[in-house]
Amino acid sequence: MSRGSLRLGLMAFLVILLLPGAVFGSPEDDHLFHGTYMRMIDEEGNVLLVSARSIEPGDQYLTADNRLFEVIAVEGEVARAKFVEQVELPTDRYYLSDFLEAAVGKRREPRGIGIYHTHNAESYVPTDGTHSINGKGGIHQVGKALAAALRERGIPVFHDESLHLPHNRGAYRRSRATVLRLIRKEPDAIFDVHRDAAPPDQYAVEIEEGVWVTGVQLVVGRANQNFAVNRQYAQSLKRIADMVYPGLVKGIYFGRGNYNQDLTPLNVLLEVGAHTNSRDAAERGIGYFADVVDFYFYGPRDDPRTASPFGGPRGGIRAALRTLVAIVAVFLLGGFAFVLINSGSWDEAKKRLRSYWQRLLGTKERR
Amino acid sequence: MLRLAPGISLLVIVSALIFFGLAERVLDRMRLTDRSALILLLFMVGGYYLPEVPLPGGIRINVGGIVPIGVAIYLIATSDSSIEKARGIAATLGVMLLVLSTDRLLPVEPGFALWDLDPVYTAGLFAALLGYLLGRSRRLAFASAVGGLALADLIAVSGAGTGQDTRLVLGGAGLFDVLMISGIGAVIIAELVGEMRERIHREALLGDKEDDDVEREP
Repeated sequence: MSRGSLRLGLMAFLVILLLPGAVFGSPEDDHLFHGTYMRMIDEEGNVLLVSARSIEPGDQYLTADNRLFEVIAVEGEVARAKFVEQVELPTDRYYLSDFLEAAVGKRREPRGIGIYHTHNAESYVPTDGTHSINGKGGIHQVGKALAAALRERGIPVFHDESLHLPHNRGAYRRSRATVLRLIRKEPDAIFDVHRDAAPPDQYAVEIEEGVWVTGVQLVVGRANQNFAVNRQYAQSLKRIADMVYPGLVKGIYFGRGNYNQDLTPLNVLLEVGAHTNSRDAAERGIGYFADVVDFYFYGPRDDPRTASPFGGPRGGIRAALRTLVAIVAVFLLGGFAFVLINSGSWDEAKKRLRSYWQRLLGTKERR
Repeated sequence: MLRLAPGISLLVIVSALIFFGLAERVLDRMRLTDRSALILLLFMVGGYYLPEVPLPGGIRINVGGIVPIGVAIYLIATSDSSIEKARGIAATLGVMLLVLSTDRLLPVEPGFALWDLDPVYTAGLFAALLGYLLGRSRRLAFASAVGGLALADLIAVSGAGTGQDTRLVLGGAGLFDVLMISGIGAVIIAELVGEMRERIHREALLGDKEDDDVEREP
């Protein structure tokens, strides 16, 4: 068989294999339609997390009481996690003006908060009648509740309700333009507001006596260069949430995705309740979270000088510099490995690199 | 971004510059000169600050987003032979099918298996494999990554059927759009795989001088 016909055969095989999926496939909230959830358990068999999201080895979870676990094995619907450490949450803030204005007893002037929804269809069964609406689902109302609560506190809000449908993983690609559009407005932070797919008790929080709301889970993606800074940021946000409304933030999930957090380190994904919770509870929950955002970015309302729990941005800077060194090292090593493969020998590789360096310095004419 | 603490701003700036440098090197290999690659990239950066251009059907296009799509069309249109053109179109359709299928069949959140990368990165990987498989060509890898992905998103959005204004901004994230990430990723992977494969092939040829009819890689 000639190479041409082999390629043609491969192509035909690919088309036959993929066409039905491309036309008829229908993703939903992962395990939701199989009626099962993934459970993350610790070494003693205690359940740490129940969710329809995919959980994979390497994923990490910071619990409400700040214990960090890492998934080491997945068997069916059970993810076994080992205890890593008790995390002391940082007190970082990231804007230079935070410190200057707090020093003179002023709240920082808010530039605004960006809100968007990658998964527009997400909805709440008890209130919306379904878990998914092909259009603006119940999650848009939760975004509006967050926007209204922030505006009540005098904070400008950029709530972008662009649709990124259909509701599948490609939505993360389509929402990049939305994130960039928000970044252009220079907000202080951006939140991608989602809801989880989980049993109702996973998110139920009694925030004050007799006041039940859904909790909020932060999600940070590990597959991007901002991960270390983003992690510090999410943890410091949780620290303030724990101080203002203990239990409101139920944990931080460190997953394998990117979630467009490569575009700015201050973009965090929020899971506000689950599809089994009522949207009213989610709207109440996100209203309390607005207080946390207000406090975190603009400081306490009474006396910023004495009441502020914040430190400097040291942790964030350290994380950023460590990442920077890693990026440059990977870039240089990758480049060298490529030249080496291309050249075939150390001597030839050195010769090529020397020639490239000379061209870069302008001491040799480019061919 | 410059309002952020210095270390963090530096991380953002250096990451962007490295990506810019990679983009320049990749475009440079796409039948473009150094200067035209640089001009196109600067056009992409500038396009980010311009309003999106509305097209029919709720689709918009970022002015800078025209660049990778234009380069992809240019690469296929200026292919050396009609076979090469057919391969380009086949690879583009293959990437489109792969993206549509994985979008539809895999879980909404990425990471259900070790190989399950974020959707921002997968199209580049598919295109590199297909581009190389079909034509052993880095240009084909770039063109099929960009073309296949743009087609997949156009089809997905037109089939969303929401009755509401679904907005797809082609190339909307400018230089950092998935179109560019995929094109660059595809070329880098194809280049690495290609170089390694060709090197192994060359060594095999040197080690077996008797075997005269072994085909050399283009």
